[in-house]
Amino acid sequence: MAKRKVKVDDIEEKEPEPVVVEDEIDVPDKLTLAQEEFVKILNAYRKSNPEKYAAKKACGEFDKKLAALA
Amino acid sequence: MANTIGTATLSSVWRASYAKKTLQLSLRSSLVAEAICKVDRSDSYYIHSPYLSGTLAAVVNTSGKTGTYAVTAQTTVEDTLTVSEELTYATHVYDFERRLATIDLFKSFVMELSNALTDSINTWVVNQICEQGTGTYSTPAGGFTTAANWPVILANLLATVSGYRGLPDGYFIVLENTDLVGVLQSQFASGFNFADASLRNGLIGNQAGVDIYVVPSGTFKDDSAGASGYSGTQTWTNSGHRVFGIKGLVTYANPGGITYRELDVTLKTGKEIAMWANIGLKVWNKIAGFIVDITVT
Repeated sequence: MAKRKVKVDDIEEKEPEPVVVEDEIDVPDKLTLAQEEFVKILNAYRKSNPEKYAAKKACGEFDKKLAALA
Repeated sequence: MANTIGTATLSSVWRASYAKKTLQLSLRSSLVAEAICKVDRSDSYYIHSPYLSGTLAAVVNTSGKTGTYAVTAQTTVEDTLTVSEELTYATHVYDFERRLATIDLFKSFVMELSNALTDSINTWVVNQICEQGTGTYSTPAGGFTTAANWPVILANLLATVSGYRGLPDGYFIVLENTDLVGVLQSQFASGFNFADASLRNGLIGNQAGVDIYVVPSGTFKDDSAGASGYSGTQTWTNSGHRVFGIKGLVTYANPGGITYRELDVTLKTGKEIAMWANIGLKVWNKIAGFIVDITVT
C-alpha cells in the first residue's frame, strides 16, 4: 500500500472528547419494589456520605445487594 | 399516717417514678451505646469535640545542622455533635383493659416500651458508629459464620488499631446473632481452658481483649430518612457490615434521659402512656480511623 505523505499542518488537532464520569449505578430496567426502595436509599446515601458511597460502589457491594433484591 | 397511695393522683406519680427508673435501668444495662461510647447526659444540644482540633504537619522536619526552620501553619477544624434525633413511643391503656386484666398492665406496658426503646436506640447507635467510622476491613470469604475466620478477623482488626499511645479503654466488636455460628465453634476448639470454659458456659464475651456484643440479626441496616423509622434523619448502607473499635472514643448524647408521661385523653377511658428520648452521636474526626467498618464477604 502506498504511503501517503501528510503535512504536519494538515493534521487537525481534535479536542479530546470529554470523559463522562458515570455517577449512577447500573440498574435493571424493571425494578422490584424492594429494588426501588434500595435505589432511593442509594440516591440519599450518595449525597450524605460520598466517600463511602464511592468506595462501596467500587467494590461492587451495591450491585450484589440489588441483585439479591430481584 | 394512713396510706394514701391508692388515690389516682398519687398512684400515677408512683407509676411514673417506677416507669422512669425501670426504663433507665433497663436501658443502661442493655444498651450497647452505654457500654462502648462516652455518654453525655448534659442538656447540651451542641457538644464540641473533646479531642485537640488542630491539624499539624504529619512530618517533623529533620535535617543536617542548619540552625534555621520554617514555620508551619496550624489549622483548627470545628467538630461538633448535634442531638438530631427524637425517639417516641406511645400507647393507650383503656380503663376496661386495666380492670379486666389479671396482670398489672401498666407494669407490663412499661417493660414493653422499655424494650422497644432499647431496640431502637441500639439500632440507631450501632449503625451510626458503623457509618461514621473511617477504618475499613473485609473479612475472608465466609465471614463470621466460618469458624476458621474468627481468629484471623480478630487479629487483623486488632492490628489495625494498635500502636497508638494511651488509647484503649478496651476494644469492642458488634456482631449479629447469626455470626455466632462460626464464633462459638472457633471458641469451642480454641486452646484448652478457653475451650473448656466456652463448652461449659457458651459464648465467652471477651476474646483477645475484645468485648463481643451481640445484636439481633437485621440490626445493621440499609435505611434512609423516613424509610423504616429506624434511621431518623440519617442514611445507612450497613446491611452486611459489622463494627469494631476502641471503647470510649465515640460520644453518645442523651440529654434529659428518658421522659415518661401519662395523661388523660378526652373521649377515651383510661390513660395514654408516652415516652420519648433525644439522642445524638459523633465519631469524632480525630479518632474516626479507630472505628472500623467491617464488610462481611
